[in-house]
This record gives sequence, C-alpha cells and structure tokens, in this order.
Amino acid sequence: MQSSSVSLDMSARAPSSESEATHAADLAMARCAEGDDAAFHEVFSALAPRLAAFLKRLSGSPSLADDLVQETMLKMYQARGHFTPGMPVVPWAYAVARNCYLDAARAARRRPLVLEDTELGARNAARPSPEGDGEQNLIARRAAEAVERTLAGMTTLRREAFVLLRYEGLSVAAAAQVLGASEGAVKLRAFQAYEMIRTELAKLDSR
Amino acid sequence: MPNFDDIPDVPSRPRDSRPRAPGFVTAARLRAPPATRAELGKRRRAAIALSVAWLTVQFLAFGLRGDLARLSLGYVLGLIVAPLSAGVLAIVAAAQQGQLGLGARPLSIVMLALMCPLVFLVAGLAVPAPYRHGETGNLMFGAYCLNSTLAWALLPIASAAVVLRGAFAAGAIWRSALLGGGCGLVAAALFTLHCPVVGKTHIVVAHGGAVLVSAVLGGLVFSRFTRP
Repeated sequence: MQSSSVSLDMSARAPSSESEATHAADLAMARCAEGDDAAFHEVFSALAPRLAAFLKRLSGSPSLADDLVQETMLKMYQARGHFTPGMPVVPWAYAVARNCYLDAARAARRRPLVLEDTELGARNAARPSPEGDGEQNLIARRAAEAVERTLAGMTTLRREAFVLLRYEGLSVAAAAQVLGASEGAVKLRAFQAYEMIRTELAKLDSR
Repeated sequence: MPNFDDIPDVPSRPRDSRPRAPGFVTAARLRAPPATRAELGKRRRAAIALSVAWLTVQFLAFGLRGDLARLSLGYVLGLIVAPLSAGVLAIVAAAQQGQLGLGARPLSIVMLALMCPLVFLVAGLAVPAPYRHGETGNLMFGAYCLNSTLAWALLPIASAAVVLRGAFAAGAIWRSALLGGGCGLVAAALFTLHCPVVGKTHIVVAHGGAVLVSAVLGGLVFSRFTRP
C-alpha cells in the first residue's frame, strides 16, 4: 500500500485575494466600531466561514461550530467599541471564538468530542490523481480520519495551538496573543500535537 | 396633455448598495445598540474622573499624616511616588491594545501583574524607617489600613471593569489582575500619605496585602466582565 503523503508543513494560506478580503474586513470592523451597523455584515461575510472552519476543528462538531460562530459574531458586535481602527480583526475574532469554544466545553463538562465529517479531511488528504484512483482516495480519507481522531483526542491547549498555526495560518506571535500564552509555549504545544499526528499517521502507514 | 419632456429627468434614487446587517445586529439595535468607540471613550474619561474624585474625597476625609515633615526623601520616593507611578503604568499597560488589539505580550502582562504586589513588599522591606520610635502599628491598625486601602481601590477597579466590559478578548484574567494590582498600588500609595505607621511589617502586610488582594480580585472576579 502506497504510504500517505499528508503534508504537515506550516504552509501559508492562499495569498492576495484572502489578504484583500481580510483588509476589507479590518476596514469594515473599524466602520462598525464608529457606529455603522451595516458594515458588520461585511465582517460577518468575511469571517464567518473562517471562524466556522476554526471552530469545527476545535470542537469536531459542525453543528456546535455553527452555534459558536453566531455567538462569536454577536460578542464581536457587542464589543465593537473596543476595536481600534488600524488593528487586524482576524486575531481578535479568533480570540473571541476561542473563548466561546472554551465556555461551551466547560459547560459540556468535557464531554467526548463528536467526530463528524468535515472539510478537514479533504484539506488534509493528499490530492487524488485526476484519474480518480480509488486507492488514493481511500488512503487520503483514512489519513484525514486519523488526523481528526488525533486532534479530538489531544488536549485543548495542543489542539488549538496546532489548528491556529497549521490550518488558520497565524504566525506564532499572533497565535500566542490569541491564546494568551508565550510563543515558546505555543511552539511546544503545536510541536507536541504535530508529533502525535505524525505518530498516528506512521501507524497507518505500517498497516 | 402637458409635455413631459419639459420636465427634467430626475436621477433615480441610487439603490442602497450597503448589505443589510445580520439579523442579530438589528435585534441588538432594537434593545440597546452596543457602544461605539466614541461613546466608550467618553465612558473611559468619566470613569477616570470618577476614580480621581473618589480618591480625592477619601483622602480629604481621612486627612494627611501628621508626621509628613519628618519623612525622609527616600521614604516618600519609595513608598509613595514609586508605587503611585507603578500603579498608573500598570493600569495603562493593562488597557493598552498592543499590536494585534489583544493587549501587550502575554508574558509581559503576567510578569507585571505578579510584580504589582511585590512593589510594596520590596519597598516596605528596603526603605528604612524615617525616624526612630515611630508608630509601628498593631493588628487593629493593620486591619484598618488593609480594609481602607481596599475600599479606596474598589471603586476604580469596578468602574474600570464596567468601562472595559468585553475589552480583553485574550488574557482577560492576567490583564484584569494587572488592572486590579495597578488600582491597588495607587490606593496604597495614597493611603500611605495618611497612615502614620512606619513599621515595616505593617507596611508590607497591610498596605502591600491590599495590593495583593486587589490584584486577585481583578483577576478572579472582574475578569468575568472584561472577557467578551
């Protein structure tokens, strides 16, 4: 069986269109902070999908993630006066989203995470060949499931550090601020998460 | 029939191209729209003014210590000027936005929050008594100073927590502890201008203890308000 070729390098997200959208969201949030309610719709449109993906990866549950996105956006709107024009809105949004997730996790008294199919699998898996090789798809799906399972089983601290660095594309400095931790701690947690995932994938390869 | 061509064309009203806000934005606006930056700025200035007024009234009510003229420069600098300055800096550091709008670097905030109570501990131990046979205080004095300093600090901490409601998206506990510690330092420094006790134990435990309690209060209680 050909080994899975899941890449876990800390690659950057797609460039210019995303950075333009992010910059537009920054400006829209600044306008909302000054009292323009309609501008928040632009913030919502720009950030909701990104936050949904982040919260899905943290919680493992798309339905919970959708609820948490709504809660996050509501809290951002209510705290709009504290947003400083010129600041990026994305790290702030991640921090608020993380708080919402932690509150939900505490309320659920750390119930085991529910694993559901997410787009995480598709993004993690090696791209199938254009001819639609069934075996490649199977390998990719199993690798994605292994990653999801490992993420669900690790501590929240490691999972959120890894997700922010690997999937959300934040720098270590930005992730440290979002998580309220030192850069060293974030790197360590992300590395530990990475090692756990790599170990799981290696087990998969050896079967 | 009149000639309609004589009527100049009126430009059609441009469609409102701004997208509608999400439903909850409209709902929130109907109840009470969240404060804008300008409104929060006014509230911050009001909170600062209220806190200064509160401390001034308390200080005038309690009065200046009778041995002020006998205090050494080192005593004044170490136990009044330095804690007062440190307290103000701590409050500013807690409230600042940082590069990402999430406050200063987490490690800096934690270290500053831990240092607030240490300022009085170090100053109280390091600064020698300004004169011999000064008042050393007893348990009652200690309780009086601790309670009074806390009372002086409480209103500034509470008004800061109200104004900064939802402001600390990241690091809320430590930033609130720093805020509480800063308010405690300011209160303790001002209270030292009233309290005539020069005993080191009294200064460290009663005055320094109030700073510690303020920091803990900020971190554990008021962080519930400052976190969005």
